[in-house]
Amino acid sequence: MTQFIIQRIYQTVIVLFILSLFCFLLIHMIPGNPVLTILGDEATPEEIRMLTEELGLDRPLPMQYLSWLGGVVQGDLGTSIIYREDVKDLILKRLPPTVHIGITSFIISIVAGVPLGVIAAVKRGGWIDGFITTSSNFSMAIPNFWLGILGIYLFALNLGWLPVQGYVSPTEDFWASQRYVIMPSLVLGLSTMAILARQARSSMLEVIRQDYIRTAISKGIKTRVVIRKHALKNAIIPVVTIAGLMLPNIVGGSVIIEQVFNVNGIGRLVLQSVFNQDIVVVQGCLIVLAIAVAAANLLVDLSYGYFDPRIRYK
Amino acid sequence: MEHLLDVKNLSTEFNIDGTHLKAVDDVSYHIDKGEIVSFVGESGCGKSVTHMSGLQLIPTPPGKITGGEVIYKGIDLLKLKPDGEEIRKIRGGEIGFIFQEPMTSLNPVLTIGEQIMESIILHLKVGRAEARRRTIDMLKKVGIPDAESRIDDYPHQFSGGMRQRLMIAMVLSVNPKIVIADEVTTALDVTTQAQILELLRDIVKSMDTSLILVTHNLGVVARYAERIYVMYAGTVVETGTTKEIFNNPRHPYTIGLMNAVPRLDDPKDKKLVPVEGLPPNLANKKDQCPFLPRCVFRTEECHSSPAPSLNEVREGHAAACYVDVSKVQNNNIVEDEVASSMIVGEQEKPIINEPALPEENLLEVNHLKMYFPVTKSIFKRKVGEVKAVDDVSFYLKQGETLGLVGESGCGKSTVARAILRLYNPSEGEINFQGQDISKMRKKVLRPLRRNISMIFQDPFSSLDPRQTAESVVGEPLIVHNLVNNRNEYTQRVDELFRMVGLDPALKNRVPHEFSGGQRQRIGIARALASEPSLIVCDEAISALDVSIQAQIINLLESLKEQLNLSYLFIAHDLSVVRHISDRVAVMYLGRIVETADWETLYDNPKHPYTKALLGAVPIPDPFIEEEREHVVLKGEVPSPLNRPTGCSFHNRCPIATPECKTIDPSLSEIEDGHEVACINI
Ligand SMILES: Nc1ncnc2c1ncn2[C@@H]1O[C@H](COP(=O)(O)OP(=O)(O)O)[C@@H](O)[C@H]1O
Ligand code: SF4
Ligand code: SF4
Ligand SMILES: [Mg+2]
Repeated sequence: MTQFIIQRIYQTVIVLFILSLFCFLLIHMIPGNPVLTILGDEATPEEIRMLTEELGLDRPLPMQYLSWLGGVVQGDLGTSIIYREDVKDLILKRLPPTVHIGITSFIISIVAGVPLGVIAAVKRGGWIDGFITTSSNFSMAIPNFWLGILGIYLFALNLGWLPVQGYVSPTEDFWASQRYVIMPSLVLGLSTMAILARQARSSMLEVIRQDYIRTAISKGIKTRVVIRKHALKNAIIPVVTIAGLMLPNIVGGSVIIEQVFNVNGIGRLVLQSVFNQDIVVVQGCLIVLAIAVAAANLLVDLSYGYFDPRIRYK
Repeated sequence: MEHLLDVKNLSTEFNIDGTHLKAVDDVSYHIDKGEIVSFVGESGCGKSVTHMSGLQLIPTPPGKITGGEVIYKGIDLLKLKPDGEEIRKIRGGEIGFIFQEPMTSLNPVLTIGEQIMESIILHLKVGRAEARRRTIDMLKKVGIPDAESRIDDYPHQFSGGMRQRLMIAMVLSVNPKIVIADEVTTALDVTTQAQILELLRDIVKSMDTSLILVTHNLGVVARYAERIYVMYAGTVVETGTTKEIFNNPRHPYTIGLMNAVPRLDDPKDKKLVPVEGLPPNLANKKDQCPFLPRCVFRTEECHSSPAPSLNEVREGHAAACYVDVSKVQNNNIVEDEVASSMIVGEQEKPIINEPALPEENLLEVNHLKMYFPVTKSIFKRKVGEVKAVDDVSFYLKQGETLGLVGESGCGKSTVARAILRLYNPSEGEINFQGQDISKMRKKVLRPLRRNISMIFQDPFSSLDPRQTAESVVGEPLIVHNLVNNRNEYTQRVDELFRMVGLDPALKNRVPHEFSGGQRQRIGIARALASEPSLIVCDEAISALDVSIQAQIINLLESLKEQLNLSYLFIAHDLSVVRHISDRVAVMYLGRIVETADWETLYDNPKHPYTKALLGAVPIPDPFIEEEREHVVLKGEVPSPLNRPTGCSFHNRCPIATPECKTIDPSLSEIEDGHEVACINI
């Protein structure tokens, strides 16, 4: 198991390294001279010289990368060109709503998706299965923003149950915060929930035709216990894999969700900075999100060890 | 007398896409207390479904029990609710089921202790501590070493044989009245098979439990069963005591089975008599004797009458057949049928006295070593070596068959792959037709490749499932540039099809449209395509049913005669190897421990491992089995990663002496052509 953990951490570091290279090179992927692009046509040579120096573009590429990476490792993400603010501070300010909504939606999608899939599998062919399968196929086809707008219209404007948009931190007012977070989380997590439900259904169907399930039944155990004790833990393993793969989806979806629900999170920051051509901020956000996704993935992988003894005892 | 279990007219169907498959068709049987009863028959004849139906373990749908009664202690089990309290008490509690696949029948994410304790707690109503104590006792009883600590291990930490012991422990831990063992040793090596069956028999006898032994192996039946039911196409075709049936078989199918299996005590020139044809399709069964198309005793009456039912032919012996085969001169009929059904043996060769073998060797393997590195961690650091083949030498002459036997994992297939240069040998020479090919570069080797072919267990497993039979057979012709144009190609493919007894009209079909036997014929045709002088057969017939197996063995033998082929015949079935080989080599942990001509090796084995292997093979004759001493080899094959010091067999050897731990014996000739690696003979 220790070896498995070390191996996973090692792989994560490599992935992060490659990702950092991408983030860094972003600045050079903009067509033309990045400095000119940022400053516009009316820039004076003096301004151009200063920004070039500030961005370190006068130095050789590997040097630029190393000093940038060195900064990132020490928590220095540079200074925003537009806001003239430390990027780290900017991100820290915007991170909580994104993380809050992201984690809530991930938890909802697992806690609801997996049992739905299991129920569908156990009642295979019945109307419950048909309902769950059809609605999950449907959920996967609906675009996030559309669902978000629909939700706002229905639950906020029409019924008045939930606030229209915005975000309140749980430290400020816990219950109000939940009311703000619930709808964006649901909208963000719905497609993931549907995918997990489908995966849980098919993996459960696969597991219940295994020989060891037949063994369990032949021992005289109740069907309910067979499902809960013998099938579920086996069926969950591939679901965990998919859940890990869905994380970037949730991060990506937050860009749109924050826009629709007017939440001042990282997603919006990225979008604004892209429009503002505030490359330093974009770089900073991307690297932070990459680290977050990689770390979450690492946790998901490590949870395999809990579910699958074959990995634990490798 | 009231029977412990009394099954009457049981029928089970599977409904798939509108067709009704009569998997079990009006089957009746009974079991008495403490009896060992065997169900024999080839795969698909309904043995498993019969027994699973009784406990309502059939997946429904598609399965459906359409009729009959299963009376246990006065209750009809079929009338109970499938998931109800009553049947669950009997299922597992009174009637235990051990399944065929030891590797997949235990739950991989629960400890074995948890799985066994679960049964005990459920059926014996004891607490966890008591259940754990009983589990440990049971584990000891089935021979799991260090039971106290291993109880918390997971199934993947045990070998296949050990897992089957665990299944036995699980099922027997609740003191059931009946144990159903469904092909429990089919996937295991002979020595493990003997260990498991002896264990099972001893335990059920000591507990006065009845045992239903489901198997296709007539030897196992002869050795262990007291009474037999022979099944064919979903029906019981013959039943009686084991001795009575073997002595006086009355159903043509039973007789066919007995003639189709090679036995350790056969005369060498015995021609196997395959049961020609294929088992019937169970869908849309006609009301007619199901064996009719394959039967050599059939008469007009059989054609015009409905399916025969079981008729008592003697006290306690019944057969479902219209013909009294004991009154028919069956030998003649059988011989005639064989002659007419032999596709290959047409150009009857005059029997010459064993043609003299050539002086020079076709294949000569010298000190072959094949080591695989064992790497650890992400940095692929080499931490050791698996010595899969460790100093193996043998030779093979043109027209000769060398059998290579040994338990799984002993390195047989690695030898084969090294000879085909699918691996690059670590050390040693492989002289083929006078040239050392062991280190030859791929390019130089290519023209030689066509001279060695291989037949696998399943010829299609490594091929594209959409590839037609024609392209499977024809591929070597193109790879080796053996045909000049389309016309020649077609002609040659057709010729190959006919050589192996297949109709060339079938050549556009894809793998799944063929039966197991037909697939193997295609594999043989492919192997013959490049006109090789040597064919390596790796477990080529192991997956086939006995009646089909005999067809393929006969085909291989007659092809050898016609084309003067040499075979390196790798198999774990010692009776088959004896039947087909001129010389035999026995491997243990990557080495050859004994080699001799077939007669010497089987009649006068010297190495204790060879003796143990032969002793473990049951002979399909209850009278011989009764007389035979059953010495069961202890323990399991060690991992080649930590090979025991000295003689690697010393930890299992019944005649080991202290020196065996230090001296590593090498093969030495004890008489002409008979070599043994043992210091104590
Ligand atoms: N779950 C199933 N679905 C459809 N057909 C089945 C199923 N199980 C068994 N059968 C069919 O029932 C017949 C008898 O099978 P089985 O009892 O497993 O044979 P045996 O145990 O003698 O090898 C076969 O034709 C097989 O294909
Ligand atoms: S009834 Fe006729 S066809 Fe059937 S097994 Fe007997 S002899 Fe053969
Ligand atoms: S050398 Fe010793 S341990 Fe090895 S087979 Fe001979 S007697 Fe047994
Ligand atoms: Mg079976």
